[in-house]
Amino acid sequence: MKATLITNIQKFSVNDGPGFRTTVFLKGCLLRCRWCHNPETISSRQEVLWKQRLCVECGACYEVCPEQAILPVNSSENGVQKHGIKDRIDRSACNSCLECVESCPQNALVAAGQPMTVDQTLEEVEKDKTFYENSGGGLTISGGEPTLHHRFTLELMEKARYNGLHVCLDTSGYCDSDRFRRLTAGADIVLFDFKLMNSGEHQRFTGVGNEEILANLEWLVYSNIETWIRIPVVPGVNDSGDVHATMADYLISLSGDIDRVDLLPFHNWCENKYEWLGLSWDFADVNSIDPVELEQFAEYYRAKGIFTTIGGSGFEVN
Amino acid sequence: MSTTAETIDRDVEELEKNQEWWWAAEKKRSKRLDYLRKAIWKKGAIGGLYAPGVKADLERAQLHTEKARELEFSPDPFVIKFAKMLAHVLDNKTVFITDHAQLVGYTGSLPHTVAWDPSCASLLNHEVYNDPTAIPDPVEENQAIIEEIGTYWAGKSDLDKMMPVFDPEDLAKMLSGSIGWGVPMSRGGYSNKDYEYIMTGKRGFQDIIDELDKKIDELDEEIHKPVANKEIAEMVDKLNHWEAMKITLEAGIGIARRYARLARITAGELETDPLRQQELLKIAETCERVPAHPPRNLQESFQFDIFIQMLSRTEAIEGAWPARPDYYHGAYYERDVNIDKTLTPEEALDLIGEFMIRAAEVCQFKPKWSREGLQGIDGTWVWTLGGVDANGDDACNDLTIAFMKAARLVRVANPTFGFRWHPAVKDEVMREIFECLKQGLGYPNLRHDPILIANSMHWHGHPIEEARLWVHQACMSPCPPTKHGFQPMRMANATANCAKIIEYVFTSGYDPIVNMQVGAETPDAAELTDFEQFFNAWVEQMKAIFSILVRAVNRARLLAPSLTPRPFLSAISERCIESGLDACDSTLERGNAWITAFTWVENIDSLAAVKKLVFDEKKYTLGELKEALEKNWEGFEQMRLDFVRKAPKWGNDDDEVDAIMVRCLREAARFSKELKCPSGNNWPILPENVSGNIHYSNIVGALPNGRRLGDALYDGGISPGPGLDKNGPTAVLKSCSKINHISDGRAFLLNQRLSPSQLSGENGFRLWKAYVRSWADLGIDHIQFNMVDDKTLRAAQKEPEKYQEVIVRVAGYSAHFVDISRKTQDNIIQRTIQGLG
Repeated sequence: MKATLITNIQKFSVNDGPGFRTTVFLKGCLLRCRWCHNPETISSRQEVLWKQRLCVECGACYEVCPEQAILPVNSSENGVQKHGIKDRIDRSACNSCLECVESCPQNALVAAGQPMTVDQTLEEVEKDKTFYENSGGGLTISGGEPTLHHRFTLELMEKARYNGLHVCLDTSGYCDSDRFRRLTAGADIVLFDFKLMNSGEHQRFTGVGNEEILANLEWLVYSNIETWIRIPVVPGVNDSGDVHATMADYLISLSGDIDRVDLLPFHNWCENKYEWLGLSWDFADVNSIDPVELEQFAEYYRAKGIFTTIGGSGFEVN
Repeated sequence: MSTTAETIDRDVEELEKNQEWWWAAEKKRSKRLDYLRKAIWKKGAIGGLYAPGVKADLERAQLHTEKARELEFSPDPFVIKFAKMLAHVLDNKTVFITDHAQLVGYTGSLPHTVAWDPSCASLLNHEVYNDPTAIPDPVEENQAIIEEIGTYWAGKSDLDKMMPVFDPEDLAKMLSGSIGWGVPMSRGGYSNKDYEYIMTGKRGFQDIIDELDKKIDELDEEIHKPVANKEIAEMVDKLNHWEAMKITLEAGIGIARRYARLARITAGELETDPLRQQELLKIAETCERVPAHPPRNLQESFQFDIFIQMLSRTEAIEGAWPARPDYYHGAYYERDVNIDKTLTPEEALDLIGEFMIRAAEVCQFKPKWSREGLQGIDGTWVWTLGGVDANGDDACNDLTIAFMKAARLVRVANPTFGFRWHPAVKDEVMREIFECLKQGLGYPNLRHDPILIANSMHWHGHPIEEARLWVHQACMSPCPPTKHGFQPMRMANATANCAKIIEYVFTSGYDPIVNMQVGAETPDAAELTDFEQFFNAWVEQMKAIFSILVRAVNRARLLAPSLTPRPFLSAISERCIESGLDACDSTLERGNAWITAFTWVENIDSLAAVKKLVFDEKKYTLGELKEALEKNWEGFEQMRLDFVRKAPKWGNDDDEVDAIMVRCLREAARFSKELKCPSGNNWPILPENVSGNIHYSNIVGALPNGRRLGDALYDGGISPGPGLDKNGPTAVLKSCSKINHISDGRAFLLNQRLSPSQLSGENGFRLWKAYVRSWADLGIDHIQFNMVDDKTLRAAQKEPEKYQEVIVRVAGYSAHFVDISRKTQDNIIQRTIQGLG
């Protein structure tokens, strides 16, 4: 089995399914949600993050770069200017050899994405078994989009479950239906990201329409697989009562039970990540939402009898 | 602190919502408790100095010296002279009763004074003389008195008497201050007590006196029989010790009666409020009853306990307060509150809260290095709660819960609680612990009872029934308060500044800070060719440092019964009453010694960095590293960053470095069994720091983990270096679980910060409980949680006056955040906040 790029294996995750979990973030996603919190997981390639705050401009990276993709320290250009974002790396010239990362004494250059095999991943995940056992927790496979790496995801799920781990699959639902069915059947809980009802709007904000996504959701609920709907509530995208009234109506109309809805308040703590990638971000100046503001939207779902949380704590009890 | 009307007007609910726990507690507690809480002086030193207004107490020093002069040419043996000096102090010291108080007794003569015992150490007397803030007014006049007292005790204090009988080389190394902390004295350290003898309601001082009278009469007769032999010659010593014990017990009863008389006079002649008159009469009745006779109710039981502590603290400087209040006072609470209903639960809370306040105000004058090491508090008073009884059954009771409720009302930084967790602890008790943590108290910390009971049996051979009764002897170390189990004095100097171990590997034992050969003369580090050789040098240095410290304590323990006896401590110990030997005599003690290992983890990260960068990757040579360290990394910044960033760090569930931790501990554990205390028992190590990481920051040189001279050391125990635990709290616990907490050492301090937002509400409790359960399953003996977020701490730095009551755990104890030095504060803030999704 080929190694797959993983950006992070995050232990002590308490908002990605029940209990204490270890969340594995796979790299690569087909959606382009404009509010994305994890921009380093979008591209399927290894990337270099440049943390300007830590950089002392020693020039070590410039010296080792075989593609001259890094600007010299004394460059009059003061970095590559793109969309008003200062970057020291010419991303189009970078071949992701990571020589610069190795050379950096300040840890200001960091690789996003480490190739890992299923067994390596599982070994890391299993280290926290004691915590899963005491909290009903386990493994959450997220991304990026895990269904994009369906072989890796399938094998990881199978092996994890064979070893007694509880598995959550966190997906956008944007996936070929056969593949989606095969993958979700292997999960204990599917964390299904649901953003907008209107396909045009969906297209506008995420780059794709939602027909396929809704079809997958309908099948999922019909199949009686435990499903937690996760709705990122984003200013200017889906932060109105109407949107949530429609979504609640839709969810309750499905031929099966929704186990829970988690409303996830938008935050802008990922602003730095965009800078590290040399990217601009539409939401850089948008304020984080105070979780209590989501209470009004939660009521739409609760009124339909759906168990709804704000923030998606893994320790809520229905 | 300012209490604006606006603040007071806000209701409790809102205050709690905003996590303004101090202000909420102020509203929730009774008027009495509020008065008493505010009527005490803050005694903990701030950055090494006592707070303005807090003064050294000259009264005790004068009384003590007066009697010493009088007895100078008396034919009494020393132990009796010493008992008479104590009795003279107790018979004549000023007594006072705080308004609204129900409990009495203080170590000093007035509430703002810090008790000073001039007979302990001349070096302490010098500190009093030179203290810029603590000399009472009029300064010049009092300085003259201090000088006179100091001059009298020069050459006569305990430490002066001990110095000539120590090994001079060991003494010089120890007193250099580079490897040890504290001095080997039987009257300055952490003394456990035979609570099973004195605190079980079976006897008061008068009962013991009656028994002593009988024994003295019998022995007197024996001694004067028409025969002579070695045994009879030795009996004279017994007789003297018994006489001395009796003198201290009688003095204890005497001072209690003086409190009773003061209460009666105040009630009869001064107090006009009839309710307060009744309370004063109750105090009088209580002090007439205890300590002469065993207590009959909760108030008497607490008062009995306070008298014992006050008397013990008159006899010695006690840096700790071993106690198990729920266990020893629980039956009285049960009877008064639940059965007889002579106390309402609220009235009981008042008494419990006041009991904590009486402890919180206690302070004894200590040298500056000690105050620096214990910033913000006078000592490490970790009271033991929970646990099991001698049969192994859950010992939690209603008083366990009441103590945690009272703690949230009075919010003192000292005493704190160490809770003995075991699988049968009920949820209602766990909720109380959680509530204390959530409200930012920083305590209770959790101790793993099954592990520590096994640990006590493993290291010191305590029988299981006694091991199950353990109390914290100081911050961390379990010790049974039983006849042969209790350790009379843990001498603080067996506290190793362990970062010196790795430092000395590079200097062949020469200490460049104090300019003397302290460690072992190991080969030149530059010549070592593989990691095994390097590690062997580390082992040699470890052995050298531990041995110097332990030899001094052993010597002091051996000499204590004759040179520096403890007649009062002996008088409340079954083994001494029975045998006529002093409490410090090691022949009747099982032995419960340990070496406190300050600055331990620096060794692990340093060894891991050397292994990786020098021996595995061969990026640098040992010669280069030696030079870089000699130059305090100056001119080697790129190299230093490699040692900081390119080497694995302890606390990340990384086997490469975790294995080094385990290997180091096992080497130390092996050596612990070669080191023996005078009782013939082992000297296991106990990694913790208190605030030693700050004290030592200017004493420890550059280290291979990238640290420079002057940088703060890690904050202690087996906690990872601040900010170096990058894989979250579960990885920290996983690393710690690789240590065997029964046989790899005595105990291991672990700090964890959890974010308060995660712990809110019922979800928070479930999360915490699952976390605690995992901690327990992983077999880790200790954990303390810090629940204060960065935002609060930064704000407290800016406006300390608004955050007087923010309590933060600093390695082994809690302190008020605003009381500790900026350096310690920064260090705390720098610690990774664990979690936060």
